[in-house]
Amino acid sequence: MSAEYSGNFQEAYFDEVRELLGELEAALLAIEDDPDNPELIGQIFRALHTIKGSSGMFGHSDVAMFTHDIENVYENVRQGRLEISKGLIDLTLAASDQVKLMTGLVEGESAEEAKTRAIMTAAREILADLPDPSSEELAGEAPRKKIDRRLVTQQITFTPEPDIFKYGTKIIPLLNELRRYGECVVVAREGDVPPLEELDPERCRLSWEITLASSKSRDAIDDVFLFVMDDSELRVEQIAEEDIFALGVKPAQIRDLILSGDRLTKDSIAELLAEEAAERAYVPEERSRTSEAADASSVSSVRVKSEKLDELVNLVGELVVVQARLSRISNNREETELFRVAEEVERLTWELRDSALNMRMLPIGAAFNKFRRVARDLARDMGKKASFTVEGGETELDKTVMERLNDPLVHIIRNAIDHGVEPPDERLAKGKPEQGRVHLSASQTEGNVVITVADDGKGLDPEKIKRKAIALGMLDENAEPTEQELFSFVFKAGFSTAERVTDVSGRGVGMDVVNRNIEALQGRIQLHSKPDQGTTVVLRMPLTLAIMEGMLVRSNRTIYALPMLSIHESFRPRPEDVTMTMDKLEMVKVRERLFPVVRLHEIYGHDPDNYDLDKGILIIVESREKSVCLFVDEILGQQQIVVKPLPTYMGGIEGLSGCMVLADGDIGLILDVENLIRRSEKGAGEGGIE
Amino acid sequence: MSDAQDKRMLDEDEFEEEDSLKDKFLVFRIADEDYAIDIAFVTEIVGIQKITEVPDMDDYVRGVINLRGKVIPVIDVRTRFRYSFQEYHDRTCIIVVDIEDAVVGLIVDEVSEVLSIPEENIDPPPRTSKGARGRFIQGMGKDGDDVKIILNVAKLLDEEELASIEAAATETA
Repeated sequence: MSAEYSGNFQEAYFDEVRELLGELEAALLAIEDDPDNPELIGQIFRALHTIKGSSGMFGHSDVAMFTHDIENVYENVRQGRLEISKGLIDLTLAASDQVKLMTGLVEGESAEEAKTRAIMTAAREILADLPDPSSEELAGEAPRKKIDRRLVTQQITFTPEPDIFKYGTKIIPLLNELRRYGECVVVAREGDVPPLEELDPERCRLSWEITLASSKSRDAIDDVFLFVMDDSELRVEQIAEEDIFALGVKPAQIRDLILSGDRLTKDSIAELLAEEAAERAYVPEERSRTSEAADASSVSSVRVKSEKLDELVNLVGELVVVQARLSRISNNREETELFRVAEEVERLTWELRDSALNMRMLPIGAAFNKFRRVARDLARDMGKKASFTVEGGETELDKTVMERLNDPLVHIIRNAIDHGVEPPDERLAKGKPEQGRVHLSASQTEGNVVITVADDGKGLDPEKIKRKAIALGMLDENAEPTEQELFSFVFKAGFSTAERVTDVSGRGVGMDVVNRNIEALQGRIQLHSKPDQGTTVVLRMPLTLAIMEGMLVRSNRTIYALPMLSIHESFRPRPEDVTMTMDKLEMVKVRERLFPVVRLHEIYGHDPDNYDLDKGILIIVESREKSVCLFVDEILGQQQIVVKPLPTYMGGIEGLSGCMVLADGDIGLILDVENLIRRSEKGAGEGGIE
Repeated sequence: MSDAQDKRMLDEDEFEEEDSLKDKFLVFRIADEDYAIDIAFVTEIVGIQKITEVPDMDDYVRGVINLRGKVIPVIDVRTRFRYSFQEYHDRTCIIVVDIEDAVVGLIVDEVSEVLSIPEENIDPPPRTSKGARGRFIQGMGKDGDDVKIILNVAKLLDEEELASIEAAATETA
């Protein structure tokens, strides 16, 4: 039992490290463009600190020791003794990779001791090059900010004369001017404000206490109030010989002190500072922990294994089906009581379903950050310059879809940099900016998520594709394909126009695999390209795979569902619109366009109600490659479908993507249009041979 | 997932107890012959219900049924044994078995009883047995004067196994 518990903890540890490394990388990549951002520095430090802490706690002391050195470097960055440099970012990224290897997060690879040592040595060298901290600061206490010795803290009390408004003087600009001088806490005293019935809004009864930490002299402060001095009262008193805020006094503490009625004096400030120092000396760890706890509570969340979520969604799916049966029963019986309950169950079920599905939705941004790393490393390795920008990271997508999109997207981004973006000199010669651009964006439109990867590189050359297609025997020499048709060759197996084979692309496997992956997710892929302007790859993905909008149709006794995404229109043909080609292919004319007819009953080998096309229904379905008319017996209606996989025992069935439980408990089959068309073409080919 | 596993565990835990699952077999009829399978694999027995045909399957895979929201494939054991297809009737049963996490329904003519056949009463399969049925036999269980043919359930489900049977059949033909 205890072994099992510790196993669970180890798993939690790995999850945590994985997540922290993700955050670390995101912050590292962001800091490249914004090296002075203290928030990012803080994020990097916290991630390292937590990895170190957890690793130590779970017995991975090697990881803890390794991370410790890197963390030390960032401690110095945080304190302003060291600046973020490209070298440091590279080193930290390498360290992040190393931690991945050390914790076994990368399958099949383990960390090389030598590399670990090399990174640690590099980190220690950075630390050794630093000026000795003790010469710079007082020993013992480590202040959080650099202390500028020229700053002093002054307490200003400003009591304007009641008639100040009559002279057109405004008070806020005065206070704002003080704020410009340095860190400043402003508190208004309302002690002299009379009760409402006696209040004269034209008279000013407020006074202000301003605590200012600045290098300004008393004269400079007097100057601010130069034009209101006459009858107003101004008192300025130096209450500390240093910047008390830098020493850790919080504005809230000052505010409390003033509002409690006390005047700030040198003594009261000294007392505050003493408390502050004592607190810091005794419980430094506690402080950092409470601040971490505060960070965590702002996004309160529970970590759940994704299989548990899948199980929940599955159960909800079953509930939806049972609920549909209940509703049918209650509709058939005229019992008000039953009807009410059924209605209530229906409402609850749909709400439950929505929230269960919602739990699986994740913002796509986290995945996008990983691609940032891919793009960066690849551009560096290939000696190219490319900026990588991201848009729409908040767009939500089903977790499963997102996971399975990872590889295709990595491939597309690699292509964009490897084949798209030109080397800097080539770009300059073309009159383009030296740095290329790869833009990744996501947005949501009606049940779909659209993801685009756009580069401003050399684009696809239709002529080159054409020559290659002809050379490979994929295209007839005299054919005149459209640009879109030419681009679609890129998605065919064994087709790659890369002139040289690189480590990352150009091996002929690639875009066809990408295309297949996207189709397996019920998505669509499209290419747009202009020579020397760039290429844009557009992916259109369903929001979730668990539920889809489908059209139920019947052929023989079997009920099938077609994804709404692939349905264009449905109609009953007139006999005169149907023609038969010489090789016995049926075609139907719809508004001057001819579509091949695919008989669903023929594909799956059963009899239709009636063989005549005009007695059944034709549905125009479209896949990326072509559109066909699918012949079925009957359309049963549109419905939300809870998608279930077919039993693994049955293997993959070409043309089917899964199954569903219908409202009456029967099972329907879900059609995969792309594969169905492919299958029908194969069938037609075989028929021809016979 | 694993009623069958639970039963197997039970099997080990309550080794000494009379009520244990050890040596217990579920007996069913196909074409007037008694067959038996190790009860450890059996999850439940349900009556025949509506089967949805699935294309591209071997003829003995009849399709899928909805077992309380779970979609499971069903195999017609008669067809598997190359007997002629017989319309299902009110005694036709589906024995749900769980082997290595594959849940499959076995359509049989009739379920008769649960029988205890001690190991010493089980003979190895006859050497001469070949062809469609022989390959699935794990042993011959004796129960008094009766003989029950004990089936290897895994082989019953296995695709490869069928291919080799067909190869053997054509060889002998």
